Amino acid sequence: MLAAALLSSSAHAENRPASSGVFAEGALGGAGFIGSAKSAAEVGPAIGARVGYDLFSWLSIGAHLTASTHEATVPPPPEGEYFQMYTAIGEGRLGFRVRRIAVFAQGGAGFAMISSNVLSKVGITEPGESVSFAITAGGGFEYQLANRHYAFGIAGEWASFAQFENTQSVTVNTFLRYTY
Amino acid sequence: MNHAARNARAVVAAIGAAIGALGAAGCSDDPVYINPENPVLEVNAGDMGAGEAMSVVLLPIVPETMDDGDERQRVADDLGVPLDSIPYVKLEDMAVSIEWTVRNLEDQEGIARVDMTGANEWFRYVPELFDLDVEDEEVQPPPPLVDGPPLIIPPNGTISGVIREDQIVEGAVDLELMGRAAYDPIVALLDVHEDTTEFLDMTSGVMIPRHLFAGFVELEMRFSATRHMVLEFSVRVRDHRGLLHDELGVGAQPGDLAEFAPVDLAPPAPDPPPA
Repeated sequence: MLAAALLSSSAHAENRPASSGVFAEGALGGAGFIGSAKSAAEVGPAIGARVGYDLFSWLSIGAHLTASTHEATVPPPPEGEYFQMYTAIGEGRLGFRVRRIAVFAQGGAGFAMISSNVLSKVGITEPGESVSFAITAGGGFEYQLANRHYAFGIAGEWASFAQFENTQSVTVNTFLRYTY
Repeated sequence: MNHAARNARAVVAAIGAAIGALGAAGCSDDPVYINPENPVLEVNAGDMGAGEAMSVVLLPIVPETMDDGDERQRVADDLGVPLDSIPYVKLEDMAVSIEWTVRNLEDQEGIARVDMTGANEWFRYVPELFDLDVEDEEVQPPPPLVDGPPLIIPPNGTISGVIREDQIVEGAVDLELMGRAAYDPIVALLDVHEDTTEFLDMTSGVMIPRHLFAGFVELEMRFSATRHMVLEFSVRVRDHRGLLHDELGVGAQPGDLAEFAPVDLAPPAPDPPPA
């Protein structure tokens, strides 16, 4: 609805110039687990940083780091314990722009690390296991500011962690992007 | 570049640095949860059920490396004591806490107690060995190393708690004082030793500083209750020195884990009768 409202604004209908090339993003949002792991951890805050390069106006590649913290809700004990999930993902992004709004889809693969084995009680991690291969897929909307270097937006991302019993998570965040 | 642009770039850079710092700092002291072989203690099950139960947890510690041994030898030489006076597992190597949950399985209120004792690499404290008169019920053995308060558990209720890291540190110091310093258990247990910086080792005659106090290698959970109740517990360890086995002892082969043989502390033999 936000995108439609912005697109329908008739005050300045021309495309806004947008930089292309090396970019950096910072993101803040929340992450939660879905599927079988949903009952094992609460939704928690997440932060992310992304750097990349616009190969073409419709294709970008980059690297994405995220960190989130969650309260473990496994059957007690333990109780009230927290753990962190870190990911490092190499990804590609496809997108197109209509006036000030860009729409994109992205996906990638990399690694995730969990900070403790508190989820071993429900079988999500095995003894000595803290790193997993991860795949991600997602998309979002981006609004180009008057300054050609800056844009902000909202994005969502699904992730799956193979070594953590294929645990899945969903992250929703807002981001600020700077293109050099 | 204007002020807003500088601020925005700084925000993006800061978030990236924060993620890196979180990852690095988080890894250095992340807790590990040890699921004991016997994590459930049940008391008063059925008419003949015992009112007390206990479970021993051996911390899955890797064997000492040559570098560790050389370091211990260096410390021993500096203090002028035998190598055996310097512990492999020290008090500050691991921060241990125990999280527990008690469930009352009856529809009447009951009272439960959750206590802990244990062993370092040299001595094990068994309070019952200090029961000077088993026949006399008015003479009770000394308390365990961590003496939990009576807990009132409501009918079909559940209570969770934790034996904190500082409580376990205090227990380890008390064990050292009873063991190497030959303190009477009552004297050791009734005083608080968070400020104790050293003790006199009665074997070597040398003052042992706090950073060379021995830590626990074995924990014994003790559970008692007046109703049919179940205790579940897990051991949480912050391993500062990397002593724990990578897989927490699961599937460990002979030689993968350090083996300790602590001796049960016993009261001194009574004086011989006068001739």
